[in-house]
Amino acid sequence: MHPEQADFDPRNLHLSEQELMYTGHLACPGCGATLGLRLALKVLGPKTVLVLPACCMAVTNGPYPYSALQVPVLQVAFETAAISAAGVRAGLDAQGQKDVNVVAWAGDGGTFDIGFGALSAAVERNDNILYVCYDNEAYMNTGIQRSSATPYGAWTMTTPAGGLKAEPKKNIVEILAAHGIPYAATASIAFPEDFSRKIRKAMSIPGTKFIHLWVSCPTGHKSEERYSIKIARLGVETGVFPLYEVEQGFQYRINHEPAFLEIKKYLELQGRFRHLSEEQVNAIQRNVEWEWKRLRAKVASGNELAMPASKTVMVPEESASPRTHPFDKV
Amino acid sequence: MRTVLKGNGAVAQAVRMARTQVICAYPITPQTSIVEELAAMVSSGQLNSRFIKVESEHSSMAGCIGAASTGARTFTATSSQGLALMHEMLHWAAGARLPIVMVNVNRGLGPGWSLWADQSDSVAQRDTGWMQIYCQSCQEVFDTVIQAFEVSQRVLLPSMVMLDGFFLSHTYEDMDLPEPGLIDGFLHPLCVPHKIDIEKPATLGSMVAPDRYMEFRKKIDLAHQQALGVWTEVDNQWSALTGRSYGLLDEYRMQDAELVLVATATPASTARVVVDDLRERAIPAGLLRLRVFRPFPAAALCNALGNRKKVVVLDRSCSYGHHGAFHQEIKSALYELPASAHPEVRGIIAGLGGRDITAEDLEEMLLRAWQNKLSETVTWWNTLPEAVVR
Amino acid sequence: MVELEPKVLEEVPGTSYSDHPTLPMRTGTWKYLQPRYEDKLPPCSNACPAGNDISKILALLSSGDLEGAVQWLRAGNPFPATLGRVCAHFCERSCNRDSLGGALAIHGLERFLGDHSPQESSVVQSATGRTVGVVGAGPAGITSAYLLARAGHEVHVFDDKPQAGGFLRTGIPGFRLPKDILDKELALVETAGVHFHQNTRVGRDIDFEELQNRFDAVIVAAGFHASRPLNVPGSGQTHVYHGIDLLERLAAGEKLRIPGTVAVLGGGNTAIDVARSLLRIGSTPVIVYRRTEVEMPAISAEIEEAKAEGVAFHFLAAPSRIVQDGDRIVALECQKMRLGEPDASGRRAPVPLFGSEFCLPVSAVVAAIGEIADLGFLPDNLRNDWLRGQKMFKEDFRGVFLAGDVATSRGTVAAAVGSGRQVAAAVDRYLRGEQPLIENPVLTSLWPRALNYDQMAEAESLNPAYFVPKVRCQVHGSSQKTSVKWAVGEARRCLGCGTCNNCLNCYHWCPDVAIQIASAGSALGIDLEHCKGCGICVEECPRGAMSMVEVG
Repeated sequence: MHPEQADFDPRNLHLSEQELMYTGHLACPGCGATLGLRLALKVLGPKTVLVLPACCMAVTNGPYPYSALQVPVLQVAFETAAISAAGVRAGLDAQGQKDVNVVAWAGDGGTFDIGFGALSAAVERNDNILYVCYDNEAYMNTGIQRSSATPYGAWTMTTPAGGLKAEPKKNIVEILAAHGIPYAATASIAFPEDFSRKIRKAMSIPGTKFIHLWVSCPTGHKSEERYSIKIARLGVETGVFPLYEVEQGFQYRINHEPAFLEIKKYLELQGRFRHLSEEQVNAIQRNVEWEWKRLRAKVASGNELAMPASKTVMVPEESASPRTHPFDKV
Repeated sequence: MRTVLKGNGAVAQAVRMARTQVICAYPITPQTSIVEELAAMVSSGQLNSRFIKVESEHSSMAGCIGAASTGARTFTATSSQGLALMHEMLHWAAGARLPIVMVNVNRGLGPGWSLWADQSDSVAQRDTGWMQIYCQSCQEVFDTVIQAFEVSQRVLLPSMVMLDGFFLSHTYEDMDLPEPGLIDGFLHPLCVPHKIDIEKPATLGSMVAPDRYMEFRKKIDLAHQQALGVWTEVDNQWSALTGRSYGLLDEYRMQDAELVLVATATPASTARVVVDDLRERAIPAGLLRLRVFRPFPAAALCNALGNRKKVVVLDRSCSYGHHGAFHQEIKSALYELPASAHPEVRGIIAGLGGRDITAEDLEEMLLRAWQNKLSETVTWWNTLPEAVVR
Repeated sequence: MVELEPKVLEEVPGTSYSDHPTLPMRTGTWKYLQPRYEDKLPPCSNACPAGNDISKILALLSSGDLEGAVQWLRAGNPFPATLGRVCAHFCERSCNRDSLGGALAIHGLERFLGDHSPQESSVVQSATGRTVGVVGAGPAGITSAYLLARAGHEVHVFDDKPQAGGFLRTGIPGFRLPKDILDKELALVETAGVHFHQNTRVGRDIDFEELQNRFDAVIVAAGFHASRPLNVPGSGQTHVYHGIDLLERLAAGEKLRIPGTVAVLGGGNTAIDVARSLLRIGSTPVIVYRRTEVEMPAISAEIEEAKAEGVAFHFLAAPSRIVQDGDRIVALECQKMRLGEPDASGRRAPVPLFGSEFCLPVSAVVAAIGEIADLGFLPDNLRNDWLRGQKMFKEDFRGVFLAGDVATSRGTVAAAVGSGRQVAAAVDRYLRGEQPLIENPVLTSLWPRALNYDQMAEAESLNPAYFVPKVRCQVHGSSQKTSVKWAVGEARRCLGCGTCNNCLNCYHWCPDVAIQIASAGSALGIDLEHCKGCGICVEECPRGAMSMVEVG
């Protein structure tokens, strides 16, 4: 395409044409999660080990003996993504393979709920991994049941009409920011260049990095497959899903100023929200505005703070010459 | 060199001398000093290992699986509740055919919260596909952990090495530590054929349909059968280097024994004295210590126990609803022998939750068996009787 | 690789180890809708009566390929410099960029490209040995002649005027279309191989039947050169002129003077051109029109210019009588009108208000109330068919084709060029012995909503002043040189509606990696064996250049 054309079509994507995913995988048509992984692998490259717990991706990757991914993948138990990745990292480091990326790729179920403990521990230990949570806002793999990432008012099989999800969505990035994680960010499949930049940035920082990727799920969100990107985009442009990053747990930066379109535009394209009353929609709208106020306050306060003294990162040293044990002296 | 170490200390030394590369562990009484000693050795540079201080035992095993999948030598240790928490991942490690070595300090399960010696924890994991070995001395613990690294990587099955909580973990013994060079020469470099490899990208552990799953499981069982021979082979090789060997079964005065006590771990060590005592009284007693429990040495057991008059099996656990595990498994193995060769088998459940099994207890058990006073198939030893006799 | 169908246990790996690509899983077999690449007609081309392939021309220009853009433009249109001055630019009104920073100045770009002399001469196909005779050297006749000559046929154009151009020469004043510009365009037509025979009137100097005998095909593009008569008492007077005659005399260089106030009757471009021409020879024109400005068929920018120059307008008045004093005209008696119900043209019809006569003091009257055809030279049977409205411009009628106003009555240069283009295609097929196509293959029209506005950002016009009528008309002069930088920059604002430009968005957005970039070049292909038909590509295509269709 004409490079000059790009100036006036800023949404023409500048992404790599290297593929690390085969076609023929078993994802639903229009799956946002698969697209997210395809994009991520383009940035991460072939020297990447992917750690995949039980989630949609673990199934769509293909049954034995097929694999849709062209990087080594370790499929692990549901709640162990973070620690398995840390184990892989330790194993590779022990064998001198420090230039291989280790990336945990888990759904919201394995991150917000059953895998939460392991994630919190990995972040607290500052294990040197990238953890990407692809969030389709429910346990989709097992057939659309609610998770703590399911937003207020959404229908799922365990929050049916009459008992819609009454709790707000858990804010995973804020929780990890409270851990002092070196780098955490939100991302959306509708903004792939932003997502790519965040992966690149994350991989340049030692320690634990977390990206919360919003992905559409036509099957679970009861939306039209062709609108997968459009819905993701609207999620950002209505302010429901802000794009921001936070470093060292306190330095916030908003990456995209949304157009703050009416939230209705986002909700009406998804059947899972069709049970909402007008009051509930208004409540959601007000809440989005409130959350933005809070986010902006964090940006402001972060700008005023300097790096706390205790946060000077301690990197455990490797002994240049290992000491011998007294028992080894003959 | 000769030194004095407690059981946990022997474990730590073995892990160090095996040049373990990744350790993921969580403290739990009475395993804690293993973890602490390893942490100290890593911090001081005496052990070049990555030690992930995980937040739970479930993560201990998950972390080991992650590391072992890259082809690194891995180790963890736990006990009781920790081992129970790990249960899902024990299945996973064996199914993934990873040569992880774990020491389990045998301790009772709650509730009633118990900290003391009891084999219920490891017995409950006998179906997971892990190899299981019960040790009776600190020297044996050291030697077995080293042997386990070697056997595990040959047959690609994880190993669980047991020592009794407090009785062995915290009891000091004088023992011999080989030179590092001997261990380095003994242990082959670790090679996991299906490891994570950037040059050969593949997915490990994906969904397997019914038409393909059983073969993987059959291969685990076949590996266990193969492992019986490998344990013996490795034991012989170890013996050639150190003069010490243990075998699958440890027999004491069994040649002409008519009354046999089958026991494991520290009670077996106590039982030698009892056997000697009974022999003094012209009772043809013998001791068979079951060392390797998984893979189950059925043939060797049948050989050892066939045609004996009476066999008493000591269990420090109970598979509720159906006796102790060792008792069941030995009887089922003996069933393969012709009926005429079947000994009379009695089971004793003793020592749960750390209740002491004394030499007197063991002598009493054997005498009663000899005098046909063990009427029940299974006797709960040294416990309060029921008020109502059913 | 792991053994796919193991026969013995040893061929099974120790654990679940998967290294076979998922390609054999034909995940595309369940869909009932699938995508395809389908360029659509952009609204600008859809609106262009001349059929200019605007998005492709602008794509070439935006990449800096000026020569390529000029060649592609002139491949179908011999009059870009002309149309870039006189066309009503319907393209700009339909430009989708309108809501994203402002419509493209397509008209100005056409002028810019038309003024740029092509470096290479146009490609002419090898001679076919077939011949074509064209009656009328107006925009329609010349367009069809030019295209047929490029197609390799031998083309002769017969015209009764001294110089070629038709209304371009005689009907449009020099201040709207400088004649040197026209001559440059005609020179290129001659270079393409067209033979002009001026001062030759068919029916007088040469018979129509002779044309039919001499040539394999005949195109009648005689235009509407006869004035509609003014049926008002006194219209036979000396100082009553007809608009097109007047313009022709002025174009020929006659030093005409019509002092005083002159009533110009009519509301079309001719009336405006006449009025503005009268200004330039010292008269005081007043346009008398029976409807209002809103209903005037003239180009609105021209109306604005006329007003700015000082032309007076008198609306809702129709002539009833020319008042004479001897052989002088002293006044034009008019009747006031009101607007009634819409008539056949869709405009509200003027209804006379009885008893509302009034007098406009004038010294001359110019009737510019419409032109009609003069097809006396046609044999009776053909002329009767034409009168009965046979669509001869599309289908062969014994080798005679109609082009331009005589075929379409549309009255604009752009329509004439477009008609000439269609006829040339029909004649070319006819000469090759192929069945004439009833309809030109038309791409699916693009409706504005098919454009993915999410993908577009605003880009303002580089010269918003361009759209001010005064400025727009100012650049009619050939001394106004518009810079290449502006042209390329403006062309880059083109969204390329309905035209795939290989932006690769479809490729990047596909979750199934089912869109492939061909290894050589940048053509895109869809792997239908694996495409699940989700439709994201079609939805996210910024230009609407893809469609979903049913499978099978």
